[in-house]
Amino acid sequence: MSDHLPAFRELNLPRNPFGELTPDEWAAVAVVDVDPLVDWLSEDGRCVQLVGACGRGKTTHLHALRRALPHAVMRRAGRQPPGPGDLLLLDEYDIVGPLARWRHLRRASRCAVAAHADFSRQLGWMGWQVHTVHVAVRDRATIARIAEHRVRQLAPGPLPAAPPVDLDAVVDRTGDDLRALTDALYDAWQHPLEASRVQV
Amino acid sequence: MSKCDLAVVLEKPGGTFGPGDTVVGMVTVDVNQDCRCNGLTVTLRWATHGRGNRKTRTFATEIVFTGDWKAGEQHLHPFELTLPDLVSPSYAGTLLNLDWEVYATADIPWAFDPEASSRITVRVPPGVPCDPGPEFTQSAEAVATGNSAVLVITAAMLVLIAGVGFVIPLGIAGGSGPDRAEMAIVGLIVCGTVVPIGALVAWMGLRKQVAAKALGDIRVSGPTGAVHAGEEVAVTLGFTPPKAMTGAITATFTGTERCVSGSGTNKRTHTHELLRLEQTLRPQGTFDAGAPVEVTARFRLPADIAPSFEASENALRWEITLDVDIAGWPDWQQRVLLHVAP
Repeated sequence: MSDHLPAFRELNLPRNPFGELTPDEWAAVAVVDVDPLVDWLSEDGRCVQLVGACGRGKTTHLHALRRALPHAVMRRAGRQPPGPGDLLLLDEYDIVGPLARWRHLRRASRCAVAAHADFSRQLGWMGWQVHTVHVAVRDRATIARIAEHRVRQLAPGPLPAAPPVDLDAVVDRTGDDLRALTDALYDAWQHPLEASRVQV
Repeated sequence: MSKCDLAVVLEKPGGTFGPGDTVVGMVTVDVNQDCRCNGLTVTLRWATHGRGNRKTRTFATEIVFTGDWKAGEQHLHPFELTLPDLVSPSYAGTLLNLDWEVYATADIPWAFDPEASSRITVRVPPGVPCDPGPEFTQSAEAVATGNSAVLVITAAMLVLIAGVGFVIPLGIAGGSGPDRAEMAIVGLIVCGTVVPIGALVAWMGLRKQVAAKALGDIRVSGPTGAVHAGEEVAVTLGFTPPKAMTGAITATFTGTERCVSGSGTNKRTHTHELLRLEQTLRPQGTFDAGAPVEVTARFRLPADIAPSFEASENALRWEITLDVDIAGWPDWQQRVLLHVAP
């Protein structure tokens, strides 16, 4: 049981900025522009499809849409579908079979789905007008903003000392995998500040 | 701008409290716009954070105001919230953290509900009972490699598939001449693949029972209530092997933080080992047929040991695992979950 405080406690943050978030926190730190998607979803019969590999930000987009569209219902595929007429935000669209996907969407008037593969053709067969977004973050500036937002959520003002991580080194290793980035930054912020600029 | 801003001010900011203590303070409200408040609620709760999905548990609630607020006003609403007699103490770990807080929120119609919180530290004095969490169940369970029934059924289905794959080329489903020969090759390939897999799956399901057979009548006894920091904990294993066997007996005391993040395909389990102590209870040797064996593992708990905690997807577990390494036979293991208190 170590006596050394983790960096986030030494910097007076209530928790590690890269730990798990509640759904509302997740939406609040999202660095995504969903205004065009909100515009697209202003008419019945329209669907936004978010396609990308694991850890690239699909669920983050859904949380941001939920924040922008307070009456939307967010579900993970496999759960009980919502009632008719809802604006449905459906995560992990492709973990269930075709029949279950149809059941999830049949009573929605507008929807956004997150999937690991492109289902635009199948969605078109179901009668949806589909706008597909291939989700990935590849530029370092955006990745840096994502990391900064997580810290700013807990510390709106200046920090009393430098954060304990060389972000460039982390991004060199994790690339555009935001989940791996978060994992690495969590571990870095658990180290004491005296071991700052931890090479991860 | 929010319609109002809240702050929780404690009589003892950052103070340390114990079971049954009362937390006194006030909620300050700075009103920015005229609004209706359908309830200003103050709760005393713990909240987990770290690697696991966030969980909270509320222990005391007070509604301190309902009514209308005017822009420019400031209100002070006092509260007193009492901790229960049985609490989980605050904990700061690597993957898991348990923080206590006074949390206030105002129900404002047609607006984001403002909220504020102030953290307190909760400590349980040595020797005083503490709450191991809402999902803790003290148990001694045989270590399983999976759900035995599921594995055996899966194995049976694989063998059935292999049987069909073998039956078809024998001509029961029809075909003749070169077709039968080709089907026989397919059937043999299916059998050659599926039968070993089925056998392996069945073995995984039955391994525990097979291992126990070598030990005969097995008796495990351990602490039935909480064990406290600095105390010695003892777990006893007894058995009478029906046949002579060669083996060794060890015990391992471990403390592990275990947290689950995400859900569905993104679900991940994170573990961090806090402590591992091993003892050899019986070195490699012969156990005579019919001769009773009894060994006891004793571990002294560190004085600063963190208490057990078990909530949904967030756990700090202390266990003693008994392991009988039997030569030429599957190992037998039993895990005893401890309720560790300060």
